Amino acid sequence: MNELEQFKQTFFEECEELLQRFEEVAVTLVAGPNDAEVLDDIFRTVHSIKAGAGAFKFQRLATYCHEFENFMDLVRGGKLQLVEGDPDLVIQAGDILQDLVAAARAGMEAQAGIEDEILEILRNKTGAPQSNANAGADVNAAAPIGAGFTIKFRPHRAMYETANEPQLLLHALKSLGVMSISTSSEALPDLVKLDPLEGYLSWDIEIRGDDISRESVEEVFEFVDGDCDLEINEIECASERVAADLPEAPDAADEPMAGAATAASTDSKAIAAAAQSTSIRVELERIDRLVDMVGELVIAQAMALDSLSELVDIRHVKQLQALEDLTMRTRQLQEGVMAVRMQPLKALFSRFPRVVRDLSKKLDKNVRLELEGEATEVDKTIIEELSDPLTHMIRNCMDHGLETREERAETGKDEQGIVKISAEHRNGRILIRVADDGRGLSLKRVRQKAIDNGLIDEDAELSKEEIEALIFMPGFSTAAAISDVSGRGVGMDVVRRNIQKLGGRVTVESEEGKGSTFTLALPLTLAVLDGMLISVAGERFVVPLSTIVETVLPDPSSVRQLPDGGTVMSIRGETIRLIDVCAAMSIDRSGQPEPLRKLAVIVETEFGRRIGLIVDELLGQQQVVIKSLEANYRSISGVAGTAILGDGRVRLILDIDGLAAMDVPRTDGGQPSNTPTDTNRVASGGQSA
Amino acid sequence: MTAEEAVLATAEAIANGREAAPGQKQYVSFAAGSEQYAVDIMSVREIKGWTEVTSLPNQPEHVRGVLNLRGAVLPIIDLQCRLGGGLTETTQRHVIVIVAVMDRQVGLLVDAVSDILDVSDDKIQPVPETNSKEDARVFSGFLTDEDQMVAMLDLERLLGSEILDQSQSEDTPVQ
Repeated sequence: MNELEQFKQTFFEECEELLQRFEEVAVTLVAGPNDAEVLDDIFRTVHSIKAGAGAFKFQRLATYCHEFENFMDLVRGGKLQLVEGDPDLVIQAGDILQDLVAAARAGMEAQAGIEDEILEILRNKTGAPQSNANAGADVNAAAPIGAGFTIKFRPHRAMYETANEPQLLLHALKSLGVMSISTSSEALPDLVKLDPLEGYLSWDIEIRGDDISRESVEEVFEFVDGDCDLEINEIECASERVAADLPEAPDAADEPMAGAATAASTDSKAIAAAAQSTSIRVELERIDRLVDMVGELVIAQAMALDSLSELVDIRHVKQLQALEDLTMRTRQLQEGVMAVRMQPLKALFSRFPRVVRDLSKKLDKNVRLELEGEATEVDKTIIEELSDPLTHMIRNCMDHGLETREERAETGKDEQGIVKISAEHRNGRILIRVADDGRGLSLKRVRQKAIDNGLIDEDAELSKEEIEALIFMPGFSTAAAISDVSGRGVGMDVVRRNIQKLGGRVTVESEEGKGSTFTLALPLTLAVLDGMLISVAGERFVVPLSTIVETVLPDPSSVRQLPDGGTVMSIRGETIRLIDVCAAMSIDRSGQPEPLRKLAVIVETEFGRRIGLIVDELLGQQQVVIKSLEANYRSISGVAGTAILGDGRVRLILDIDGLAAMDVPRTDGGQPSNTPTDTNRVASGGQSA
Repeated sequence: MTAEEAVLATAEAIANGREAAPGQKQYVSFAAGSEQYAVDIMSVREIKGWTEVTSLPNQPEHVRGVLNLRGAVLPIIDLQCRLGGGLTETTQRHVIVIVAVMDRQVGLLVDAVSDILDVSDDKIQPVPETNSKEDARVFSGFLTDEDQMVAMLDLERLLGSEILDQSQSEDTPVQ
């Protein structure tokens, strides 16, 4: 049955969210009194999973949740206080819950007995104050309390129409004694045939207690008499028990995240649920298709506009306005679609408290994690790809960056080390920083290590920045001891490569003795870019707008040639390098008039270094759809990607950092290796970068 | 054949399922310089007339640049130049044959599409041993069609080195 599968899918997605929330809050648990909200959260997670698990007949999962829930219920109700070791117990129990959910999702049986130990401990803990606390909860402890009744209760449509709420009735019933309940969804038709106004669910209730009379039970249902099927039978012998671990259906309806049974439930509940849900789930693939389509639309729209602009003149004010309107709306549509893909970083950050907690135990370091900017929104794809690099960087900070307790004490630092992760939007990019207040990078050691590993020459002259960058080079493994914490054979070079794949960059800043800060700069989205269109010798290029600082008309007196062929310019007392785009992109200028005065576009690299790009002309701003060059060809140094412009032509997007690192800064057009005598003309052949 | 005729012929060949007798395969043949070449019809995605391309910096001469084909950016390789001839002097009549190879799409700039050939495998002669082994590797065999030699192109060998990234760590911070 297809619908059922769909509900299951939804259930598991919800489990994922719930468990994530669980992780988030569980690490804040402490021995002694806890924040009520935290306890509630944990309880709700377990409870909601139980509800769904029961509905889908994941018996083992439901049973486990049931016991776990009992424990949390006692804690929540203040009947049990967490003692030393209990917070860890809850976290462990959460791990097992996760395993069981994963197994259920995969349709497999989880490893036998993984939950036994925990259950044993939980049972022992709940055991003591059980007698009066577990009102109606634990049906396993075959309650031998007096006689009772079994009740079959099936509301008719009319009952709902008179605004009677089964949940209230069941609650009233519960006050009479110890109740166990199971929902029967047998009468539920296929979703296509489902009448939302019809009542399909029925409940089998078993209630026990010393002084329950038939009258008191009947009294509960007094007002709905005739609007429901009701069957009340006295239990003769108190040994038999039905439907032990199925969830309490009415409670499940409380939860917006509850399982399928509720989703297809009766009208009043369906309406309530609809009011609560303010989001829908959509497959990422569908959104991606939409993003692609809108991207094409933007290009098509720009192309149409381009070709029409030749025909339309001042006499066609109306048409021009219509076109303007179309352009604006297309842009809005694109922004709207892109926004669908954006998600807050919280989903990612919430994993880290756990990582830090586990690791500080393993390393025996006292570490406090500070998170900032969790609400910052980033493209979903980027979030997914960031998990591994960031986790690795945190490990790195804790293992290599932070000193041991003793070392910290010696240097007069607080015993508690700090790892801080922050995120913010800046210049159309997102910056994520991972900082620690540890020992920082030792320039001397990094340098020595690089020499030992043959990465640099013994007499290489490197700036502080360059030495720090060495740790990102392949073959540079930091700590001498490969620990099982961060030395998994994965170095910072892998982190760097992962980040680069996303179009981002990672840099490090460090002060010896004070700590290090790793900064990731990432694009907000992988699909569009605000660009400045420039022209050089008749060719057009796109410069990412976010990198541009200003544009100046250099005064010849402020420009100097260096002996090595490079050019520098002085601007407000700062000396910056100039890069001739014409030379760097090996454009043939023959036949193209040399402009009288060229412009210098001052751009900033990720390292914060400024360079000037020599161009002929600025053509204006444009948002472009990025198309990777590697999809059908390969990457080229100095080129970040390609963009399709309004005229349908492909233009190259300049890679500022790539250009800064390129070895062709010479404005006379020569390439260092094969200095041609014929200036301004660069052989385009022979050099496959 | 002009580009339009070639497109029609190719489309027709595919549509009619002009499935030749067993052991036979269909090839699209085209002229580049004074030579005739052919590729398996199944690898041909599209044929279109020459349009201006956007050149790429610091690339081999035979990489003419990139082209926008319905939203995808494809490299265009000058076949004559790639095989050791000079740069093709492009005109409106030149043709780009878009082929699929190794999950990528690449355009081959040729002079004109010649024909669609039904060829049985045994008609294709192996490439004789020559001194310049590297060049010979891009051909999978030769076919003598009427009185012309047609070289069968091995696209993976012809284009593999062009489209794969060999330069992984080119931007190391320290030289």
